Amino acid sequence: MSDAQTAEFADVNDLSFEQARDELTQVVAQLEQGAPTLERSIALWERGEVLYQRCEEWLLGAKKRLDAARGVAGDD
Amino acid sequence: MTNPASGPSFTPAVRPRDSTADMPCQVGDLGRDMRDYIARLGSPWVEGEITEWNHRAVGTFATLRDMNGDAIIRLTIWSSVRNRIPQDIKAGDRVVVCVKPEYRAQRGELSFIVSAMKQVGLGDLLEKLERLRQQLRSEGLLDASRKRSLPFLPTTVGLITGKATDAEKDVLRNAELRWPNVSFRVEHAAVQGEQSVPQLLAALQKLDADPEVDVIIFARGGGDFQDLLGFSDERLLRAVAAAHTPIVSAIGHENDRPLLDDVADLRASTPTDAAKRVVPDISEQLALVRDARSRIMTRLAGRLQHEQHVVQQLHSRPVLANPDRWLQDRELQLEQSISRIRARTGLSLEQEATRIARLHASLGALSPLRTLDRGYAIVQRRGDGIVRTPDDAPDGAELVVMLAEGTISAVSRGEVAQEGAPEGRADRI
Repeated sequence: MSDAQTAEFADVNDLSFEQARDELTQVVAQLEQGAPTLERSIALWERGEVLYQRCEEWLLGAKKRLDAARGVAGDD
Repeated sequence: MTNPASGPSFTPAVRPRDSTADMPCQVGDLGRDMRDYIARLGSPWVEGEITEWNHRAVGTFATLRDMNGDAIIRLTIWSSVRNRIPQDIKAGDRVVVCVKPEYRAQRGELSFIVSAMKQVGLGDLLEKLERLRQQLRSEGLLDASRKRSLPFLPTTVGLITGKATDAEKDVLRNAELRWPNVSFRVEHAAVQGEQSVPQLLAALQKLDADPEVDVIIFARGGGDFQDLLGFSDERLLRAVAAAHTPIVSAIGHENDRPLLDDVADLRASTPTDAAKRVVPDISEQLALVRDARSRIMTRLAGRLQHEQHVVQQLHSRPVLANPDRWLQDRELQLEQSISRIRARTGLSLEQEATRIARLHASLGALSPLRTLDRGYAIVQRRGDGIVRTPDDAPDGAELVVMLAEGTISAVSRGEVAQEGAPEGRADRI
């Protein structure tokens, strides 16, 4: 991805889960409508993958926290 | 030497209002004026509470206390009158008395001689309380909007109650059963009788000023209607309305409830009920918290599952899951373009070849070489142009003769006269 394209997208680590998920939805919509250039398509796809990873990490982390809390609740 | 005080006075009579240091009035004069002045009050009817009631042979001597303050008057009820008044009157009763104030100059005493007395009936009291209730309502002191909500779990509970009463035990025991760590500040006060209102007010003032006290309970285990009149006292009611701390009334009298029930922020039917309303049940709260936690977990797990599903669905969309497709699409586009280019180029080449062939045919048809087939020849001077006239090929000039089939060399012998040439035409080669 070129520097110009990198600058266009915010760092995923700064995004909340909702922001990452919403942006992923937008990326999919843009790709489905058809990007103007192949370069743009690839850039969007790469962004989509990064956003997906962020969402997955967040959800897995949340699930771990929930399981941990369940464990504590079970000890009561 | 005689004592001047023991002899008769020769001072001229002076009215008390005209007296001076040099011209004083006599004690008797002052006494008479007081007697006459007091006599002008007539025989007023006075309401109050009997606080002392002592029978003697000559009559009954009693004390009548103001209902709203500490003022008292001493009553004298002669035997002749005593038979005309209710026989069951006792200390603590509210009465209306017709008195004649009398000043006895000989003894320097003011006494109130009773000529008639009647007990204030329950109806009278209720009517008076109802008037007070209406007054408080008109001032907005009974409005629901004024009621303060009780804290969920008070740090410290203030309790105003009689000393060593069942009401106190009930509140403390029930509160501790519900929430063992609850803290109490107990202020003891008289809950009936003439001292009740001042003591209740003092206790309220003290607890309301304590920043740690989050709620105050007035507790008393029921009792006779008249015993509870202190809890309908206007001074107490206004103090409760003005208090900063939420107040619970737990007087425990279902019929003819005291006005405190209306002014307080919450009315409890009994001291036990007050404890239940003020202090939450720890086991009940624990169950609620656990249930809430369980519901949160379920809801959260469901939400996570839903979000996971959404993200997975997005990720499995062909545009993300199969990015090769765009390359394939572009390759296909490219191939199609190349095919079209090739097709177009091939067509152009064929068209051009045909055109060239046509041109070639046309060229062939127009070519002088076609003339050679008919026996003609083209003569060129070697290394020079085509020979058109005899002058172009003088004697001895080397020539190249192009025939239909091949080329020969020759040497010119110069110009010759033509024989047998068609008339009027000189064909030259």
